[in-house]
Amino acid sequence: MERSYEFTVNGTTRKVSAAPHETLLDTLRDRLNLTGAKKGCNEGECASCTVLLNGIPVNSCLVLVGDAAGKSVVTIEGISTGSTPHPMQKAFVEMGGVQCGYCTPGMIVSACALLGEQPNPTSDDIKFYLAGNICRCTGYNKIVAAVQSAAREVLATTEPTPMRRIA
Amino acid sequence: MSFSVHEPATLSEALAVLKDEGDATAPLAGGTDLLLRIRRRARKYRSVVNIKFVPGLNELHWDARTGLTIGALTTFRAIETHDSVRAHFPALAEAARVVAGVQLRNLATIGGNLGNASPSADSAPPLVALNATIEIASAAGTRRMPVERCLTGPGRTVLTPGEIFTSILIPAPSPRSGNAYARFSPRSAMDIGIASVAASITLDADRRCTSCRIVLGAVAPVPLRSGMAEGALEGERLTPALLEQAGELAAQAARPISDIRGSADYRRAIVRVLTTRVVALAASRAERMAL
Repeated sequence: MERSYEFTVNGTTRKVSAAPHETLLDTLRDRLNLTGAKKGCNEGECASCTVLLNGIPVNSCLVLVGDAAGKSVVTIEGISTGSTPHPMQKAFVEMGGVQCGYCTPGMIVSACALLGEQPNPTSDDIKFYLAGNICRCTGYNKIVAAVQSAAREVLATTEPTPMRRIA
Repeated sequence: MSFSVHEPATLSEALAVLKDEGDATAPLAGGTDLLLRIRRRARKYRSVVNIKFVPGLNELHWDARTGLTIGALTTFRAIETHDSVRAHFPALAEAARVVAGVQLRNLATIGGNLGNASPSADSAPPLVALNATIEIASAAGTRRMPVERCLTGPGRTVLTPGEIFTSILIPAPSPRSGNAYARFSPRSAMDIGIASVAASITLDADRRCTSCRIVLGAVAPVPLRSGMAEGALEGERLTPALLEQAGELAAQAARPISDIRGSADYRRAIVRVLTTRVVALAASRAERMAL
């Protein structure tokens, strides 16, 4: 039996009808046509399905659609503004952080969350924060370099904020 | 995979539904274990009771007199980043931060980790070492018991249908005490531990160990206290030779299995090394607290 759920996706209020046992990932991909978040392992091992739920990165394959009700969801499609890529997306392209591309949406969404918590992360901070994002091409070094490059770019173009250490 | 979802707004509502549905339902916390169990058809439920909307179950509260209260729905990420946890119970912060990845730790809860009762559950050894108690609620009322007694075997706990864990209390640490946790896994991330050790040590003014708890994880069906290792340290100064001896005794106490991640002998060897290191780290933290 389907129920009606309402939440904000990439800044827009969306109303969907879905079975309560459906995952947020399936709702995003199959009902809202947002196929950026990938269904890799579908069991919380690979994080290619990472989205921000109220600003917090989660595996959307382990979130029931009802858990997003009333909340804000940001997918890779909502990371950029209009047709201008986010500095993180630009850095991934420029630094060779994209190979087959399957892990990239989850990597970028997670890396953006990291910069929200730590604007100036060390490479160890980045490796710790992205440990759950699995890249089967094993292009990790370039991914870390891309995140560092994006962090520098963001720091250079925004007001300095006090650093908050998490890891 | 189809099931209905109850979304109770209050604890009493949740407990009433759990009572009515009995073993045809399961409480859904972070979902990182339960949803997989259902998806893999390891277990069929008619419904789940999503307790995430129940207020008050995800709060962390530190009180210098009583200690730390951790709501059962507190996520590992909330635990690892909480200042009071890091200051007073580094063992628990160290356990929380090695669980899977950040995304999963934003979902997975400490109550769910205990309820799932995996022998390798990272939260269990530090909670036992820190002498934590757990509160269990059902429609019939609440009861409390040491975490040490709430796990009864792989996937088994003292919970009966209709009961859920609601909160954990870790007593405030005594002066000159320290605690630590370390685990070993074949991969450095996104893996489960093949052996882990948590220790909590209290020293006297003369730097002799007045009490200690040493708990081994992933090497027995449930977290295992090593009474022999604890006994060897109590009343003594913690010399390197004595720490080595405690490691030996802990390794002898371990009852590991052999599986794809490591043989029983390997796990025992890891327990010996981890025990020596973790006790030394807990003791150095105890000394620092005494300064």
